[in-house]
Amino acid sequence: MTRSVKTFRFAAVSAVKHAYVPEAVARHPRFDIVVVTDDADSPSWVHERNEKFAEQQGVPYVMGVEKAIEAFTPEVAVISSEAERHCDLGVRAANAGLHIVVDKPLSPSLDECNRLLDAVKNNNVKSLVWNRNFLPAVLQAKQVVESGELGDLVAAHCDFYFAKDAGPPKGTSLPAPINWLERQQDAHSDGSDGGVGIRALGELEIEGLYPLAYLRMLTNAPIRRVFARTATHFHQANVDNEVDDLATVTLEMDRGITGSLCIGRIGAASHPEIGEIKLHLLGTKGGIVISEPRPEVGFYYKGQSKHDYNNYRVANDNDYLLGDDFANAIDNNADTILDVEGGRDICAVVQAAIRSGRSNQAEEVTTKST
Amino acid sequence: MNLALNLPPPLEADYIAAANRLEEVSLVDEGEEFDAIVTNKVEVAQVAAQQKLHVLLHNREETDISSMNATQQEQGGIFMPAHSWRFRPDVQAVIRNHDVGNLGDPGLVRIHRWSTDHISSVDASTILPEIDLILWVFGKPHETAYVVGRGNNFLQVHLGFADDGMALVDYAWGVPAKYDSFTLIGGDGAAYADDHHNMNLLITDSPIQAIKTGQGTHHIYGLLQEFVTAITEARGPAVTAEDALLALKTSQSAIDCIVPAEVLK
Repeated sequence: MTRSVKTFRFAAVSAVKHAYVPEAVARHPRFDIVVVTDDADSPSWVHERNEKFAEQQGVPYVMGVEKAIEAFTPEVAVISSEAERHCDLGVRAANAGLHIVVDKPLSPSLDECNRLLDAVKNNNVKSLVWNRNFLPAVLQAKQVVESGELGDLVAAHCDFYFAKDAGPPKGTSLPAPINWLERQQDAHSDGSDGGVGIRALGELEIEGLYPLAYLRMLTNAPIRRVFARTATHFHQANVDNEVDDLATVTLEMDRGITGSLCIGRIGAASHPEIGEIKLHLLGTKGGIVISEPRPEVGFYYKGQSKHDYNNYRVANDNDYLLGDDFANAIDNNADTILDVEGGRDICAVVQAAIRSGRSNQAEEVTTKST
Repeated sequence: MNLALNLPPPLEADYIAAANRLEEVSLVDEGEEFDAIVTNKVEVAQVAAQQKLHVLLHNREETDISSMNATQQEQGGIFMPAHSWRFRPDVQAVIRNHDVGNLGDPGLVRIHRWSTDHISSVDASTILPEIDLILWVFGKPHETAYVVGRGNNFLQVHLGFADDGMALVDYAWGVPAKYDSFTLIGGDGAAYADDHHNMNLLITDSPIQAIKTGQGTHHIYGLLQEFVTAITEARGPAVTAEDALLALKTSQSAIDCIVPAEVLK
């Protein structure tokens, strides 16, 4: 039996982070990886990781993004570089006419997000910012909201705590401040290098996109103003690099919807699983409390590694559905579940929250036109 | 110890049940001689306090707490504001772990409190329990507050404390069913007291339903036990007038700075 639908050739444009995004796209039947590429002047550790990933995927690694695009004529670029390079790579891919998939966060720089948004629009290409909106429990929340059972949504809250460590705990006496990039490189082996890059990123910047994408999808209401408290409470790397590992954000949205985000990388000891991740949605007729990891299956056995999670998520089609969503957007000139514009808006919320954490004042969220 | 009750019937029944569990307590009528009284009426409390009797007061009014505090200072009996929420078994479990240092320095208190009550107005006494819990955890007054409200149905209180502490409470009233969640995240660990974790399944002809396993009236028993123990040990109670007044002041300051949710339509 042959597949009748078109598949898209994609280039993995940098795969220096834990490569779950290009791996997920490569697993999808509508996408074929044809090359891994990155800028030739990247440091050696970047090339090493890219080469390793290319070898795993059985495709060439080409130093020089434009050179790879010209030689392999991909239709899609899947970008999983350091966050600070996401947008620049995305702009160049979009200008070459490629549709783009970008790992989260879109960028720590709102100007860069705006530049990429312009490039995507000007080149009329599709975009997808990697997210978790297709997790089964999140889809269940969406279904309940859309059913009208809750009435009009008036409040939406997300608690998003990752029970992970990030190097030495706060207060650890070290001979020198922790270098952010080196710490992230060390964390690559266990997949906790979500903030990989030269620029240090707080938890709001690294993971904030996930919960804010939930709330964006569920409320369909832009966030206009935020008030935030941010802190470094857990990890010495965050202290040394002056970025948050715990934050609370009050969200004021269109249609008078109020919400909140509590987010943190709160240490592996704080929860037996990946962390307590929840949605609390309240409407004029009722509310719903959603545990994001469900459905899951628990495993406990002799000799179990303490580094393993005891609960495994099951029936999780998030990656597959993201691929479907992106392919559908290209096929039918449709919107994706979270495009660059959405990623840009979330970046604006995160930046406003960081400003608020410093000013102790409510901060307006910067819109594209302003 | 002879204990008198002057309370409305449902609460009185809870106290009778709690008192029956305490060996050292004998319930007596208010007209008989008693050592201590539990009441929601400040005038009754004042009369008792003037006689150097001990008072557990179910009353959240700032003026009443203040006047009782003044009387207690003069007369010397034990006065304990009835912060029963501190004695909920789940809250007690969280605080015990906090107190012995298992969780490290507190970073965040997160509370979701959805109530079936329909209230006519949101005032300081309405939000007192959660604010009191937060202050209890951090052990100091807040530094910053940002509060968003919508009529008498919704309030979100966001507090900041020195040393990077923070607290966020979402209150909702008039919700079809009650729901509570209390999370404390510290530098070394976290505690989650969440109704969501304590649900069982009811399977009938209707769609499957979650039903909550409640905590009964343990909070009243715990509260009364602490009151009685403070008296018998001649020590200060676990909840003081200062605690109540600080919680009321903090609650009022939150109410005073409400930003209407509708403003950003």
